Amino acid sequence: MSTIALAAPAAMPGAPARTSGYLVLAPSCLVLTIFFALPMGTMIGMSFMDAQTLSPTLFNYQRFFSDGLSLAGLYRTAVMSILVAVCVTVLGYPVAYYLARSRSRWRALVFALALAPELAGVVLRTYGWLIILEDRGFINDMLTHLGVIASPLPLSKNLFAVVVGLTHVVLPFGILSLTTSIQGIDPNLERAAQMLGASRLAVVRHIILPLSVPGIVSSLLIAFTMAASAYATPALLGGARFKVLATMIYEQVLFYIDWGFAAVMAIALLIMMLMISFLGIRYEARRSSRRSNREGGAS
Amino acid sequence: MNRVLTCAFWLAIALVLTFITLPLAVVVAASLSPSSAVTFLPWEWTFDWYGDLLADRWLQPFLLSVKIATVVAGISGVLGVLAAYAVVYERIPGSTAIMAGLLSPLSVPQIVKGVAIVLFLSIIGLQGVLGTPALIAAHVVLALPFVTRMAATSLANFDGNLDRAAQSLGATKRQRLQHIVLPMIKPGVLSGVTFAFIISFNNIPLSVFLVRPGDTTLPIAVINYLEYSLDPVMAAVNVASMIFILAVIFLFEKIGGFSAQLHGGSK
Amino acid sequence: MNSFDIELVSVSKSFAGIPVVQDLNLQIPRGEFVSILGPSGCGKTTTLNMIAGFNTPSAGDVRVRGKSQNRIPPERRNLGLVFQNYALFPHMTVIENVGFGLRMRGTPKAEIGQAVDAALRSVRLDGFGSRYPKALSGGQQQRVALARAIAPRPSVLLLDEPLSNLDLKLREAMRIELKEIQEQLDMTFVYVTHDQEEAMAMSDRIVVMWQGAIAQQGEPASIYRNPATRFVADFVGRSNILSVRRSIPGPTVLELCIDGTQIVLRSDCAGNSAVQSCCIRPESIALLNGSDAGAGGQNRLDGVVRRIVNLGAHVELLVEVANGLSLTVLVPSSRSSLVPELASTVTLGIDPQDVQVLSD
Ligand SMILES: Nc1ncnc2c1ncn2[C@@H]1O[C@H](COP(=O)(O)OP(=O)(O)OP(=O)(O)O)[C@@H](O)[C@H]1O
Ligand SMILES: [Mg+2]
Repeated sequence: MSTIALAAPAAMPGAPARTSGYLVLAPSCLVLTIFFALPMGTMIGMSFMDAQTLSPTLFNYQRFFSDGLSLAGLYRTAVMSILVAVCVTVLGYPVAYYLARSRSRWRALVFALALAPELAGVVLRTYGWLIILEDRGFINDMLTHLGVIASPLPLSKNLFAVVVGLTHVVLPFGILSLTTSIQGIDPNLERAAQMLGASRLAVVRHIILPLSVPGIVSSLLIAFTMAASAYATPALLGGARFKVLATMIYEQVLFYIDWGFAAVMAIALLIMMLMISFLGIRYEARRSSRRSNREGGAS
Repeated sequence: MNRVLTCAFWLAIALVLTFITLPLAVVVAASLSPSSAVTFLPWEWTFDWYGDLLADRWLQPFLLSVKIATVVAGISGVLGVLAAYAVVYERIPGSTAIMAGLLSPLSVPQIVKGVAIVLFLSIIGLQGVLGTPALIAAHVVLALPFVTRMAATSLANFDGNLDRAAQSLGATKRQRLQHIVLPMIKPGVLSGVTFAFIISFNNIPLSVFLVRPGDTTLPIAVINYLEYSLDPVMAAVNVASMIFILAVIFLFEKIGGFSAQLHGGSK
Repeated sequence: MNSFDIELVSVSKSFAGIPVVQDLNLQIPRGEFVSILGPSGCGKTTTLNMIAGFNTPSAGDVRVRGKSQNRIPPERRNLGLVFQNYALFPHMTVIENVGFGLRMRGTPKAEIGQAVDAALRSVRLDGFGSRYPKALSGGQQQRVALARAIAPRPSVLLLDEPLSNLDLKLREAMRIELKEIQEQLDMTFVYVTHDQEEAMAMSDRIVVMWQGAIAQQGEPASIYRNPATRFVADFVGRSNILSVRRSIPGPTVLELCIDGTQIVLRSDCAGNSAVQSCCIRPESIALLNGSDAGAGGQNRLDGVVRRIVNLGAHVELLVEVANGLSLTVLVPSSRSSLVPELASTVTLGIDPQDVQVLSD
């Protein structure tokens, strides 16, 4: 998620101004050390301490695994993130295909429509979903009006609402990564398959889907990590009835003021994210080694 | 068969686009609705709710958010460019490791960063003492890696031959930085700075731990209000803040776009 | 029922109002190797795509074996297509690539295996079946693309500049192979290229295209010998193209007064008094010795050698025959003893049948 392809920089001229180089780097390092590295260290330390006495203990971890609530929160977080990842990828795919292939003048509009919400910020969109999904919201109001239902459907403050809201938040990122991947597939491959008698469906099944697997994987990973670490959307759409790790951490810090336990939960969330990122890196590595094997067969 | 598939494809796209735009449309509609219950599309409309925005209740958080976002964008812009310069242009030893370190905050979820910072400040006894400075520091930690990455990418894409050409024409290092390197990477840096402004302005997961009661940023004020009321003034706040963000992007695009044109639209 | 595999009837195509192909009429008989030859951007690919079904004509009709293809999608036209960039499926082995077409048609597995073997054998690639395309050289990829296209035995094979990514030697070898495969399979080939040598070497018939229309079509030799228009004369082979001021039809020959000079050339061509230009191939101009009178009715021109360029097999002379008019003359290197000195005066002999009248 955070790796940058530091493409071998264009060889830069000039005598190595080493000292000035380090000097220039100092402010960034200072800021990140004081406000990132030290806090992270503190947090990890706190997870092994008793909140009151500050004496070392494993109690926070024992509690995490035994109180039932925490593991349930972890489980809810994982389920929610998986659902969001799948929804984002499935919904994003047709749009991404259109964006990658179309040359019509509507393309720019679709592109803007697909990505503009990203600028609106999470609150606005979540608020929109609140209005739509609430017990007295848009959908329930309309259905009641039409006499389809007598009492409101439970559309908000649950898994469904959170997944809808988060899918909306993450979708543009999924669309972007899928579009990039599909753009990398030579459109002539689709034509070639068609000339060989493949129907549209067969082209999708045998050519486009297999070749866009890397894009699908990256869309799933991005969506999962973004969903798992989201705070505002689960807080507003899930509320007290559907708590995930992020909202539980917030409660621990601000209501129960149990820092050690909050630290453990934060670490659990962090580890889950790092594991997912690791899976992504493993997949990339496997893929590139498989590719080099194929090329190696040439000699 | 093909016909069915094509229809399904267009239908899917239409549905997804509806899904994407629906909440935005609903918010805009609600902000214009005269009734205080935001349930159905308004058949009449009013701008009254936007008038309420000038109350201190919304104006103060807005001004605080703008202040923080501006400072954060400035600090991360300068620090990010300097760091990218040191790592990519000067290529100081260990630059790969240093870059990984500079970007490492990206792999930590915001809420975890937030917890870490709030615990740290508490331990050193500054929690509650620092309001705005703590917010700024936390937002810089969030934004700096993004800016560093964009500046580094711009610098890495920068054609070293331009620099060599300038050198062969007798330009000193200082002159080259000023007249060649900076203008070339300016669009990349500017988009990084714009991005820094936006993520600071919209931030919730970090701010939620660090704001002091009565002195909150706009998004926090909004979610606090949303906990107990959904009335249309919220819609107005949200729409106004989105318009503000678009204006900021437009402004930066103007500055960046001009420079990009001047220099052959390099990225 | 007729014997044309492909017919284009008044086909036009425009993109966003800009005409790219205009009123094209073309008939391709079964089993013929037809090349569509033209400069870049003249609409060759567009024409091919209309036959294949990727572009719908704005007007006119595309027929395959007499049947209009208007609403038939590419996958049901039973045509083969070979792409310039090969378009091999990167996630499939050579065998899977070549067998794809038959698999899509629901052919039984055993049959597919045999057909794939046969196709690979015919492009001399047996033994490469389990490789992925990335592990093949450009020439091998080209052969796989060919095998893939012919494996389902389409009635017509369309080829869009299939050799242009190969180096010269390989390209020349592939020309011969392609022609052999075409004859062996007795398939109709529609071959798009901007390389006139390629078209000359392989085709039964060449269709020269220019600006979206057919400039001339016919057998390679006749196109070379009798270019109909200034464009064809210039594009196919090298030519001396001369502007004509006035032409006087005579009983046996046409007399052409060359623009800006006193020169009058006799031509065997039929023509009227409105001839605008004529062309002479450089290799049909002979160098005459002073004593050599040349054949009877031959055109004789005196000139000064202004430039000599050695082209390997030939030596190219630029001879100034009048103020502001120079002719290019090609002399085989084997007769280099005949090559005159720079700035010497020479006499050129041009047969009237080699002076070709052009229409613009
Ligand atoms: N999809 C399209 N939209 C708009 N214009 C197009 C499109 N496809 C082709 N053209 C235009 O039509 C003209 C003919 O294109 P075409 O690809 O048929 O040329 P070509 O003869 O195959 O050239 P080349 O030898 O370079 O491949 C070109 O001017 C091209 O710009
Ligand atoms: Mg072409």
